[in-house]
Amino acid sequence: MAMLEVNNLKKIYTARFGGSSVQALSKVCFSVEKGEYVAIMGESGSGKTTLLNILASLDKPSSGEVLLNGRNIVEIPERELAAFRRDNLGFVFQDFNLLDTFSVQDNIFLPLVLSGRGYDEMSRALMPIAAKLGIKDILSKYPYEISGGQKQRTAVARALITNPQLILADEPTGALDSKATGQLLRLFGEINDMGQTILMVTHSVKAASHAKRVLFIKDGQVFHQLYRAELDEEQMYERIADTLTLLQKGGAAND
Amino acid sequence: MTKGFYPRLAASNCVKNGRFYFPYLLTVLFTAAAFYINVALANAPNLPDKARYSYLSGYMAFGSIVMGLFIIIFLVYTNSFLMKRRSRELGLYNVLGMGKRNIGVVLSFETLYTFIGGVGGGILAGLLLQKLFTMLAEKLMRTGTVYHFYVSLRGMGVTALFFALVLLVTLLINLRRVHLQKPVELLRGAGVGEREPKTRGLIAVLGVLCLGTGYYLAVSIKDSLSALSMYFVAVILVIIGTYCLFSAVSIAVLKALRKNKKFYYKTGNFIGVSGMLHRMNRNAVGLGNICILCTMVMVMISGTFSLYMGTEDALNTRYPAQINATVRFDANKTFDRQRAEEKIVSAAGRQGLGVTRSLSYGCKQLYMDYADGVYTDGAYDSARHIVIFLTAADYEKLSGEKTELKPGQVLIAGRKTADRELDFVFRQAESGEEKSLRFQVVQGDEDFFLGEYSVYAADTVYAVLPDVQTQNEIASLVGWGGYSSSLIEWNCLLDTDGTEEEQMEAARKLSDGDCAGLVNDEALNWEWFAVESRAQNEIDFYSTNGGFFFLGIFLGGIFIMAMVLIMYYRQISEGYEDRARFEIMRQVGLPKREIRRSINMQVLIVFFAPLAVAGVHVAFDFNLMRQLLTLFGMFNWRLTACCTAAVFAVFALLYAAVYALTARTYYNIVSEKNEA
Repeated sequence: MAMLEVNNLKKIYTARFGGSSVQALSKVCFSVEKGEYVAIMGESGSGKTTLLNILASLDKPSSGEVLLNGRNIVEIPERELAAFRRDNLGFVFQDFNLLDTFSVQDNIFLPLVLSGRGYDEMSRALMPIAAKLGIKDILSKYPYEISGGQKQRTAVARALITNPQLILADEPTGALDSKATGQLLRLFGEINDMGQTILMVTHSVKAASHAKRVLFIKDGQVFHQLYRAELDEEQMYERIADTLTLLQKGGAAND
Repeated sequence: MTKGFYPRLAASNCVKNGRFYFPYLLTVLFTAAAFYINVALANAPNLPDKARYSYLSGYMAFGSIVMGLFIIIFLVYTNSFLMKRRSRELGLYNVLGMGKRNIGVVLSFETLYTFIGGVGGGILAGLLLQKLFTMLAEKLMRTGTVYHFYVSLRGMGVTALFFALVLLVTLLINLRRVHLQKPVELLRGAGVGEREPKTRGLIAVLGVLCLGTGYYLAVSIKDSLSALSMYFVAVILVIIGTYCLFSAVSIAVLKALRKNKKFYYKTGNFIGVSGMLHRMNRNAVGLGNICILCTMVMVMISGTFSLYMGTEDALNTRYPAQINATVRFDANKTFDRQRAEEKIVSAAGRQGLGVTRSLSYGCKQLYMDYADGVYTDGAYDSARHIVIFLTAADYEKLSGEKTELKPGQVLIAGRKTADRELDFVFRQAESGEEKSLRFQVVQGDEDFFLGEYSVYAADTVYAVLPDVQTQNEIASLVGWGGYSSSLIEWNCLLDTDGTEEEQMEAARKLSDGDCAGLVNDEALNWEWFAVESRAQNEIDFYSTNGGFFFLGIFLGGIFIMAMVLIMYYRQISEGYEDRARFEIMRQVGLPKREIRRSINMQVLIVFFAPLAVAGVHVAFDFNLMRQLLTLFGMFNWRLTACCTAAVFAVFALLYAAVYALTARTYYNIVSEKNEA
C-alpha cells in the first residue's frame, strides 16, 4: 500500500461576495511510496500551494480524499488536527517560519514541547540532528543573528525532530542563494537516503532535479511525471527543463 | 498630475488609515475642546468683585499650562507612532515615483485636514460643553451662578494658535523623517529583527533599590512637614524604579524562569515565558508610561476628591464654633478673661444673635526643641515641636476631663510621655543666658486635639499648667527669651442661632473692638482682635477645595484619554506582530484554542500589569498623601482611604472597559489573515 494516496482531489474557491469562483484543483490523483523523494512542479497559479496546504491539513478540499497510511486526513476533526500535524508531518517553508522570540534550539524544540516531552529527551533527540545539519554552534543564537541557509537548516531540524512520516517542503530554496541552495538540496538527498519520505513543491528546476520523481501540475491536474531512475542530476535537469517548455507551449498531456 | 490630486490623495490616506488616524483625530478634537474650555474659564468676564470668584480663573490658568505641556508631548508621541506604522506606505509612494517634495505636500494636506477637523471640531465641541463644565465648577465650588455663558474669542484664538504650532511641529518632524530616510529603508520600516533581550543586572538592582527606598520613605514619614519636603524625592525614586521594574527587573525574572529547564519546557510556560520576554523587551517604556500616567491620575483625583469630601470636616475642625473671636494680649498686662467673654456674648446679643453656647480659653504657643526631658525654645523654622500651653481650668472645659494640678505640676496631652520631670528652658538669643522652670509630669488625654491649632506642620504637644499665673509667667519668659513675644492668644467660641447670613453680618460688625465692647476698659488690655464666622469660611473652603477637585477631574480626564489612546495603539501594533506568530504556531502544530489561550494570557498580563503596579504605588503613597492633606486641614484619614479606594475602583472599571473595547480590535487583527 502506498504511504500517501491522493484521490480525485478538487478545490474550488468561491469569492465571499458575488458568485465568481475559481477552480484551483480539478482532479488530482497520485500516490507516494514510503522513502520516496517527490517534487511537484508547476507554474504560478497551477495549484501547487493549494495542493500542499491540503496535504498539510491546513486547508480542506472541496471533494476527494487524502490517505496517509490508509487514514483519510480530510475527515480528521479540527481539534485533533494540530496533534496529527505535529506527530505525522514535518514542514519546511520558503520563508523559514521561525519564531523570532525563540532561540534556534527552542525553535527546534517547539513541536516536541507541544507534545509534552521532557527536556532531557528533547536534547538527546536534538544532538545528532544538529550535528548532521551543521547547526551545533548556533543553537543558542536567535533567528535574526543567523544567515538564510542556517535558518532553513534550523527549519529542517524542526521538521525532522519529531520523526515525521512525511516532510512537506514548500519552495524550500526560494529565499536562499545558490550556495545555500546547493547545501540544502544535498541535505535533502541525504535525509532521503536515510529513509525519510519527502514531498517538495517548487518551481526551481535545480531543486526538482534532485528529487527521485517529479510531478507536473497544470490547470489543477497532474499533467505529467518523470522518474529519475538512473539519470544523473544534469540529465534530469534537462529532462525537466524540456518538459516545462512543453508545458508552457500548451502541449497535450502524455506527449 | 491634475490639480486636485494631492488634496484627494491626502484625504483618501486619512480614510484608509482610519484604524490609526481617527483615534488620533479624536484626540486632537478632545484635547482642543478641553484646552478651549480651560482658557475660556481662565478668562471668565464679569465676575463679582470678590477674591474667591477668581480662584477658578487662577486654577484654570495653571491648568492650561499643565495641559499645554502635556498636549505637546502627547501629540508628538502619538504622531510618531502613526508615522512608524505608515513608513511602508510612504516608502511605496517614493518607490513608485513620488518625490520627497510631493510626499511632503501630501503630508501637509493631511495635517491641514487634522487641523480643520480636529481643532475646528474641538472648538465647536468646547463651546457646546463649556456651559456644562461651568455648571459643574459652580456646583463643586458652591458659588451660585456667576459664570455666565459667553463665547470666548480669546479662547478660540489661543486654542487655534497653540494647536497650529503643535501640529506644525509634528509636520516638521514627519518631513524630516521622510527626508532623511532612504526609500528602501522606508519600505522595510516596520519589521526589524528581534534581539535577545539583554539582562541588565545593574539596572534591575537599581530599580529594586529605588522602588524600595521610595516606598520606605513614603511609609516611614510621620509628619506633614517631612512629607512635603520628601514628596518629590519619593516620587522621583518611584518613577525611576517603575521604569527599571518594567525594563530590567521583569526581564531578569523571566530569564531566571527560562533557565529553569523543568519549568520552561512545558507547553504553556514555553510559549508564555518567551512571549512575555519579547513583549517586555519591546514595550517596557510604554508600560512604564502607562503605569505612571495611571498613578498620576489616581493620586490627583483621589487627593482632590478626599479634600473636597473632607471640606465639612476640615471646616468644623478649624472653626469649632459658628463665631470665633480671637484676642492677643500681653501677659504682663491685665486682661480679665472672664469679663471679656461676658462682654463678647452680650455684644453678640446686641447684634440680634441668641448665644446658645460659649467657651473661651487662652493659650501660648511656642516652637521648642526637645531632648532628654528638656524643652528648649528655638527658632520657628528649625524647631521640631510646637508646644501649646493651656491652663488646667481651660483644659477641663475643652477635654471634659476633671483636671486639678498642684503648683509645680504639668499635664502633657496629645501624646504619650515617658518623662517624669520636665524642664522648660528659655534662652536669651544673644547672651545665651538661661532661665528654666521644672515640673512634675502628669499624663493627660493622649488623643487631645485642638482643631484651631492643627495647621502647624510640626509635632504638637499640649502642656497644661496649674493656673493662669503660671501661664502668664511662661509667656513673659518667652518674651524675655526673644524667640517669640509674650503675647497670649485667647479664643472665645460662640454657637448662636440665626441664619448663616446673619452670623456673617454679625461677625463682620463685631470685628470692630468698639462694637464688641472691649475698648476703654481698664481690665481689658489687648493688642490684636478679630472675629470670624464659620459660614464665611465655608464659602472660602468650598471655593478652594471645589476648585481643586474640578481641576483634578478636568486634568485627570485628559490624562485618562491619553492613556486610552496609548493603550489602543499598543494593542493594535501588538496585534499585527502577533498575527504572524499565530500563523507559524498553527503550522507547527499548536492547537488554535491553545494559541488563543496563551496569547490571551499574555495580553491580559501586559495590559493589566501597569494598573496593578499603579495600584501598589497608590497604596504606598497613601501615607504621604494623608500627611500632605493635613496641611490643607484634612485630618480624617479614614475618609481619605475611602475616597482613594473609590477612585481606584472606578478607575479599574474604566480600565477594564478600555480593555474590552481594544481587545476586540486586537482579535480582529490577529484573526484577519487566518480567515483569508
